[in-house]
Amino acid sequence: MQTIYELPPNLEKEIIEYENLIHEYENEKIDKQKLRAHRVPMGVYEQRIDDTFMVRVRIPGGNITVSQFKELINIVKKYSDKDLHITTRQEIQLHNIKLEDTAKIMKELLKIGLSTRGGGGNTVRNIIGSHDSGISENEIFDITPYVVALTERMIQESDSWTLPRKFKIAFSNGPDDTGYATVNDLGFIAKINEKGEKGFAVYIAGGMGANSNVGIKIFDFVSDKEVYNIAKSAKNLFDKYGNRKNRHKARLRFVLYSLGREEFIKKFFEEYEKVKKQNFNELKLRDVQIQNKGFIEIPIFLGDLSFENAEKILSVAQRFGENSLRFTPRQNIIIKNIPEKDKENIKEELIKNGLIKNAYNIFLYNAVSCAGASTCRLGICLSKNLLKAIKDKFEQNSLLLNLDDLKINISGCPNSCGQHLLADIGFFGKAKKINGKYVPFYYIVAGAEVGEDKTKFAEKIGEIAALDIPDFLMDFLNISAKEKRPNEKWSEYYKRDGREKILNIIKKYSYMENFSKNKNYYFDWYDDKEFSILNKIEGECSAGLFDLIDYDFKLADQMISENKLSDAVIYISRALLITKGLEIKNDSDSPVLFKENFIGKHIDEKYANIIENFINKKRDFNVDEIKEFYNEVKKLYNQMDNSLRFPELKKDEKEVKIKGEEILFKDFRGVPCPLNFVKTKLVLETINIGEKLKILLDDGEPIENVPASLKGEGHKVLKQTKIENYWEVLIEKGV
Amino acid sequence: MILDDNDILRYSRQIILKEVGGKGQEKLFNAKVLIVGAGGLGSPAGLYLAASGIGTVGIIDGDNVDLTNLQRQIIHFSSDLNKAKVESAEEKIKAINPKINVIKYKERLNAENIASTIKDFDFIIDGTDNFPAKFLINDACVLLKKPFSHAGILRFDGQTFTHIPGGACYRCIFPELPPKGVIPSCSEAGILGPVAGIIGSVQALETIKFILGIGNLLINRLFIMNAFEMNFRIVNFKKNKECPICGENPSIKEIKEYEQPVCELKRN
Repeated sequence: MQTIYELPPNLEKEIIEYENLIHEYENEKIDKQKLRAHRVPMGVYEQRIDDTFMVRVRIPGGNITVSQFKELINIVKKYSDKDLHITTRQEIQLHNIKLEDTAKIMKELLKIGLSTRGGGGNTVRNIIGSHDSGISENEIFDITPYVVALTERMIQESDSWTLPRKFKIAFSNGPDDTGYATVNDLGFIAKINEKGEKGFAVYIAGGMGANSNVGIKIFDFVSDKEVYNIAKSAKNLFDKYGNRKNRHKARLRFVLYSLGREEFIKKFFEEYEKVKKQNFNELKLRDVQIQNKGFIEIPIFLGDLSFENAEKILSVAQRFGENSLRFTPRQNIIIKNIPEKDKENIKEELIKNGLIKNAYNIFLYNAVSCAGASTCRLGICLSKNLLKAIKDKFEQNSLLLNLDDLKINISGCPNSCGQHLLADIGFFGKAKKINGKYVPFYYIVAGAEVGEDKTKFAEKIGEIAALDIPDFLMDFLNISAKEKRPNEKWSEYYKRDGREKILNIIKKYSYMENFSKNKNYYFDWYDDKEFSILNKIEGECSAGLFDLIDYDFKLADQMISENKLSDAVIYISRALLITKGLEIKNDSDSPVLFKENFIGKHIDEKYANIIENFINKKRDFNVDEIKEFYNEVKKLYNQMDNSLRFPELKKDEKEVKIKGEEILFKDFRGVPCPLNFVKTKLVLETINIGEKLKILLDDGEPIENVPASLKGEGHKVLKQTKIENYWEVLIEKGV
Repeated sequence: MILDDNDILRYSRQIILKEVGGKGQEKLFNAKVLIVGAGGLGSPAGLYLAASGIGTVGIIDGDNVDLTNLQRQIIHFSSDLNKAKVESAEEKIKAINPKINVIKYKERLNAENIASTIKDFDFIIDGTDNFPAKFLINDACVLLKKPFSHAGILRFDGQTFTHIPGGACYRCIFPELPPKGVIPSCSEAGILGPVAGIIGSVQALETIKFILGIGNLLINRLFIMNAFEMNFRIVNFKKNKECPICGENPSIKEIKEYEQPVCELKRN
């Protein structure tokens, strides 16, 4: 079968290992966490409904051969009843898969040259590229061969699977940066120098989400022969300096923030010099034969592709050879290699098939939305539903606008999964308290610009109730369709006139009385339950509720300073309840709920007194104890991980049993070097020679140093096992 | 004494040493050390001992802080002028390590009070600046079988050794007080602060090692430093059979004070 990229030779072995782990899990030999640690880097995520899974397939630059796609559809049909999903990283996602089937799918994919390895977790993710690479009339050159060759190299290297966090690489075929090279961890923009040689401008440490950043340019031009060396160096740099302890601050851009620009660049070039000395082979570029530049982009609303439509597309594409398909970063499908003379006929055929329409608002199909609160465990608003509502609104009004290049992006929360920071006009969800109730609300962002030396994130310019957005957008786009000049870029129009217009229109939608008149404001789009932020939050991406938590801490702080200590206790205990999805009927319940859910579990028992004191209505608090309580809870909040989990209080009892033998156990995760060693040593002093101790250590420096130091003191390290991002070490006291 | 989390952090860099560990730290907590003289030698010694977690530090000194002290007696600050040295030293020790128990004696050590003062301490640091006091400390410690660290400094020179019961003592080398003319006059008796700092630090180190029971102490070995040439050397010496206090036929059997030869310049 013709494939796009070569799979690493050990992949089959890894799949078998993964399959064995599933068996071990099913026979209760290993726990969920352990399996998860292997499952996610294999590209398998658990969905919101327990025991259903999503599998993400690596498709470099969105390129898949016709035969592969055909087989892929057959495979998916066997295991799932759900639509295929095209991601903004040009991958295909399969939904509603059973755990035991995930391994079967991997084996079948292996046969057709596809892999899910690195679909998730702290890995080199799918490498993306401009949607029109190789087919654009005005590109600098086709970057597809680089995307493919670099993918092949990266997925062969085992360190690509054990990075501090995910690592995203992108290629663009020209200065418009349609592949988003400027906002990936590492990005390459095609360039030709004055000597006519191929090369790239290179950006590093970009990314969206917490502390978004436009990448910094480390090369204005570098020969295309250096692509691998640069990628390898960036990966090494990340591997070495990335923050493995705090996943919220782990992406490469945080290395930049912590080292500072100058030092970061210096460190990069140190790695680069080292890599160059190793004389790696150049990338093996293969030319993808495309005779015709003609292509048709089929907009796939929200990237959700039914089997039926997939097969229709396939039947058209297979007429134009193996290399005629591509998924785009705007979640569409391109059929390429179409001879110019056939283009109109094919269009007709696609219209007949219902895949495209004669005249329609392509920008609505191009619009990107994250999964939103319906499936994302952290979403606040139902972003996908909003996009549907917008589309419905336009269709009901039969409003057709010629705004094909408009980019609308929606995120259900402040995270940038819907890429709202790159929007011409975009929205990101929040919850706003109006008349004592939460209303689904969005911030409006606009004016993003993307391009070499130009990339600028969209700015936040206002806020609006979810209910009003379709009307607002219709108002605005009606005006812009008239006023935006042909060939004028959206960013230019925005600066010239669009911004002013948006600000004016927002005013119309800010009448507060609406909220008491129209109860629909309190419902999110196409949702029959009143809007609540509490029933949605559990956590897979992050943020959104952070605002609410911060707000409670702010209130608590204020109450402490006003010496309203009883109120402070309420807010301190309320702040983190939201992370457990707890509904609070009235404020004075929160201390009780806090006690049940946090004290003794994540917070020291001693703070139970404060809660007792509150419940007994004695409430003779003293300010120092409340301050201490506040600091303790805030400290806990800072230790919260991406899945909204808190570190458990250390369990120091003799609780681990190995072959019936009780073994002292200590959790030294989160304890930095050399303190973890000191603590281990102190525990060892309390046991007899020959007795054992089991400890948990963080990955990186701790595991590299502590066992060696213990051996140096004469103890035996019997076993060390990696579990997810930490290690379990079994020690026998020697002296 | 159980180490709490802060203790573990505070002392982590010494607990980390194989020779210290949690048990060693506990020994330090349980130790009582007397510093005689909160001056050039006592300052660094006191600060280091406090920092390392010696549980009880006694300080005996009858003087108040004088402007001329500040050049080398680093436990005292300008804001402490005219304050009793023991008070000033206690404040600094507590500031470094609030857990240290400080016992203050604002008095001069003499033949009458020495026995009762040193009785409860495990180790004594001689940080005095005159021969009668050094002989007094030596005699009392030998007779009461107390280990101590002797030291002397002058100009660029310093020397120190450690006595433990059974080991050689100060009188094994210097049986009697030097005659008056040999003692340097004040014009010759300058000192650079760091000289005191180094020797006082060696004394602190010896104390800690003694308490932990680790390493080689300066027993029967005199550590001699010339900071001008930057020479450090060790001179081995032996217990003297003829020693008037620890020899085979000791002549000194009770603690007695010797007269302090007075500086000619001071008298004028």
